[in-house]
Amino acid sequence: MKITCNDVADIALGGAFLACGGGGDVLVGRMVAERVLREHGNVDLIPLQEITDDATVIAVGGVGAPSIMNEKVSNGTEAITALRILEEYTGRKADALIAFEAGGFNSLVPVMIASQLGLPVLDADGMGRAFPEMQMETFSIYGVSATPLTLVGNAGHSIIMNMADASTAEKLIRQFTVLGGGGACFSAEHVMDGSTVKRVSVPHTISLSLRLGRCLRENHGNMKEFRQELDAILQTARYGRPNVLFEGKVVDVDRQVTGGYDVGIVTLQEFGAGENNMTMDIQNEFLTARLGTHVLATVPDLICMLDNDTVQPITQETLRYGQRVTVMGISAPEILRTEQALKVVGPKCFGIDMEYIPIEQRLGTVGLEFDSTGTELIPSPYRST
Amino acid sequence: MRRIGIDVGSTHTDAVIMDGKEIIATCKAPTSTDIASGIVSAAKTVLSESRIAGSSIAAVMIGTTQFTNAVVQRRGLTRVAALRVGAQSTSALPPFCDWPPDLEEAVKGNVAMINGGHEFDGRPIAAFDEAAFDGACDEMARAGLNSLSVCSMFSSVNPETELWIRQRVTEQRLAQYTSLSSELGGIGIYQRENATLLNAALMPLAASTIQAFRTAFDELGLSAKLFISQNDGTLMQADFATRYPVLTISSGPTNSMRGAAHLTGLADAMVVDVGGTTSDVGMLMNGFPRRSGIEVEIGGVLTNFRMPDVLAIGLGGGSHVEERGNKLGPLSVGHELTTKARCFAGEVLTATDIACAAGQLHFGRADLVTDIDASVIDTAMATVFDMYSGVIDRMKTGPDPLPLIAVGGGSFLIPDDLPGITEVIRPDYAGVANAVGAAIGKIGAEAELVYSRSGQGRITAHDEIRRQAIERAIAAGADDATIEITEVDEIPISYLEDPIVRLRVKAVGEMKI
Repeated sequence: MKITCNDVADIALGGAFLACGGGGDVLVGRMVAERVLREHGNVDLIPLQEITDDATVIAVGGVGAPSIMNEKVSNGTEAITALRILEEYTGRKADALIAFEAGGFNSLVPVMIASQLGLPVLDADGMGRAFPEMQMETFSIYGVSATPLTLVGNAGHSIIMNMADASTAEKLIRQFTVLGGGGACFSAEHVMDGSTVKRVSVPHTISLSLRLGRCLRENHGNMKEFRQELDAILQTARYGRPNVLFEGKVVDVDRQVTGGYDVGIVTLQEFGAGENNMTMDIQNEFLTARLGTHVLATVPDLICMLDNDTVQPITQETLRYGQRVTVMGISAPEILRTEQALKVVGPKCFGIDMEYIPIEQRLGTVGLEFDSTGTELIPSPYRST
Repeated sequence: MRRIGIDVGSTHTDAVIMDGKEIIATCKAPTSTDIASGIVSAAKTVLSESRIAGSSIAAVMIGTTQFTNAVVQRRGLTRVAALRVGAQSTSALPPFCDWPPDLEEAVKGNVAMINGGHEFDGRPIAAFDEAAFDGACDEMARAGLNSLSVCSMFSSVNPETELWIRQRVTEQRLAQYTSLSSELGGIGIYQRENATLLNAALMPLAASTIQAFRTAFDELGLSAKLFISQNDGTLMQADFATRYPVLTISSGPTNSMRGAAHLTGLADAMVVDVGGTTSDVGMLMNGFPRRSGIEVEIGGVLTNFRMPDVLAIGLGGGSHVEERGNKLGPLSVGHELTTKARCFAGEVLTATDIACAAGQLHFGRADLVTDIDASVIDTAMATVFDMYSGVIDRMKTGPDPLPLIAVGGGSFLIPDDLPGITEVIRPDYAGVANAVGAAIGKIGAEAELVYSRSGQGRITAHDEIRRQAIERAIAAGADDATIEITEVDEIPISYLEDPIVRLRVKAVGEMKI
């Protein structure tokens, strides 16, 4: 299928939902991509299984703090420069591009470049959601070397990196991002062949973002309809069922930028006279959802937040005191839940001292009940009724 | 404290005199083409009706839709020279990007993007290109532009470039009006610049409008302080409004909801304000309009302002009734109701005629609408019921039923029984709720500081800044017993091991009486 200028807004919106609060700013990515596609034309989106085994695939995207990209919106050439430097250095030209994470911004970076260079984009990505660090990409988890990698920051600042492992590369990426990019850079990384990319990617995520985005747009302000359709859409793409974890109001956002990442805790309070609070750890994305001391969900399962009034995804950098929100938990695709994956994307990898327990088990232990419409199972302990 | 609250709408200018919490006199007059003479006549009417001397009025508060209308209708706007500083890192989204073409056409003078600006922590990112700046000023002069919008990268963290530009522009008389983005918002260059461009386009109109208000009140012998309503339910002094007219946009719905709260004593309710063409539906929470969780478009342009969350439907007193009552609006006879509607001997069947024929109204001539088919009346009333039921359901955020306050000149259209609504309250003075909202406008003050997390720490910083904001609000005339902190914003501005955070809070209280 072709990605057109008219699809861009939906991909951004759906990507923002999957991104669990991260993945970059929806507005900036959408507007830049729309301008590019209007000028340079549509992009071929190819299913993962259709890429030829010997094709060269390169992952591209933006790295750094989304709040900074919202101000420093790029000059439009940084990502292409990153790709060109990497191609020249490795002597391999990209036949197709892939996103390294799903997000309002990062799902679209490959699309923008592909439109300008006449390349196709794969219907897949390297996280199936967003995570803050590069070793958390499935490409790295399943053995593809992240480097050589290029980063392009402010005018004149670029770097070619060769590191023995992705975690160390990530540390250097952060330092360069601050030093050379003022907190925001573009990268080209994970040079792979077609047969490898089929094994190590989360499939369908761009077309899934497109469908999710359309559903969010069509059900603007209508939570009930959105939740009903969401279930059906997720099931087509290897994600589990969505569960509502909390509905309430943002009462505190304690967040700082550390090492180039937004880190902090957001506290939500139940509507009305309810006594229950939810706290959520943030490291660019929502990492945990706790009801009091009770853990309802952790990474790598998806924890997504929607604005109650508009039913649009909330990225964590736009969190504000007083927002009325719904928190949802969704089982991550199996590729993120293997023993190998959990060593890299489990709670402990984010400094949270707990074992990973799949969300469906956690909710099972706290009890489930049917919601007021009688159609959906929801966790019960915080329901006052 | 006696004061006059005035609401300038598209069709009516309403005025109230209030003494403390009490309403002394009200008046509804047509909005004049020049705005000011309509204000004068409304103010004159309430003064003479109440027999209160103009000299005893301490303050006049004006809520006006003029600036909103100027943007929405693309009228009275001034062409703007847009200067972006930070081209090297931001040129992918140039000024006016994604604007509606007709608004762009009305506002875009010339655009210059030059290198410079700052990083997130306030360090300069690239040398400010002074030669390019001079070139941009030459172009602005050649194009005959007089209003300049300046948006520099990360100016909300470090405004030095923007301040330098304003000083240079003033010294060398390069433009009469300069609008700086650092005074209109935080991080997020696109939205902040949009607000700045709109502000620059409105500044000349604001200058002449405020001057006309002053002249009008001088003529009336009023020496009262003049305040203008902002979109957050607080007031700004008039000379401040000449510099930041964009902050008045959307103050209308805020005033009408705050007025509805005052008139009923309710703090939590749904408010429906029915005018000639539309019905605006909003939610009162703790006496204030619920604000939209997301950034809001003004005239099709995304800004960083958070507006009252209002749903508007195209149903008002002047709405055309079509398809035998199955369709009402969005077409409306608007301010021509009293000449075009059937019950005023006109030709157009309107929502007002249906209400008149159904005996719900005391104005218009019922004898002129006796020929309307009973089935059309029933169908039209059912359509009105469905339209309000639908919008109420969309606006509610929980299943619990709540009261609805009906205000505005067309509020007779709202049925008494609606699903999810405990009761429909029609307060006295419902027709002038906006003017009441203007008159009870609050006083707000902001304070900000930069703190290091390892030093004094977050809690100390919060305590200190809240105290400062409250002190400023009291100094600006707020009653200390009523002050609340309404906004808290924290912007991390450093990646250092010891992060630095900019903290901004807003305190708001009732005007001390």
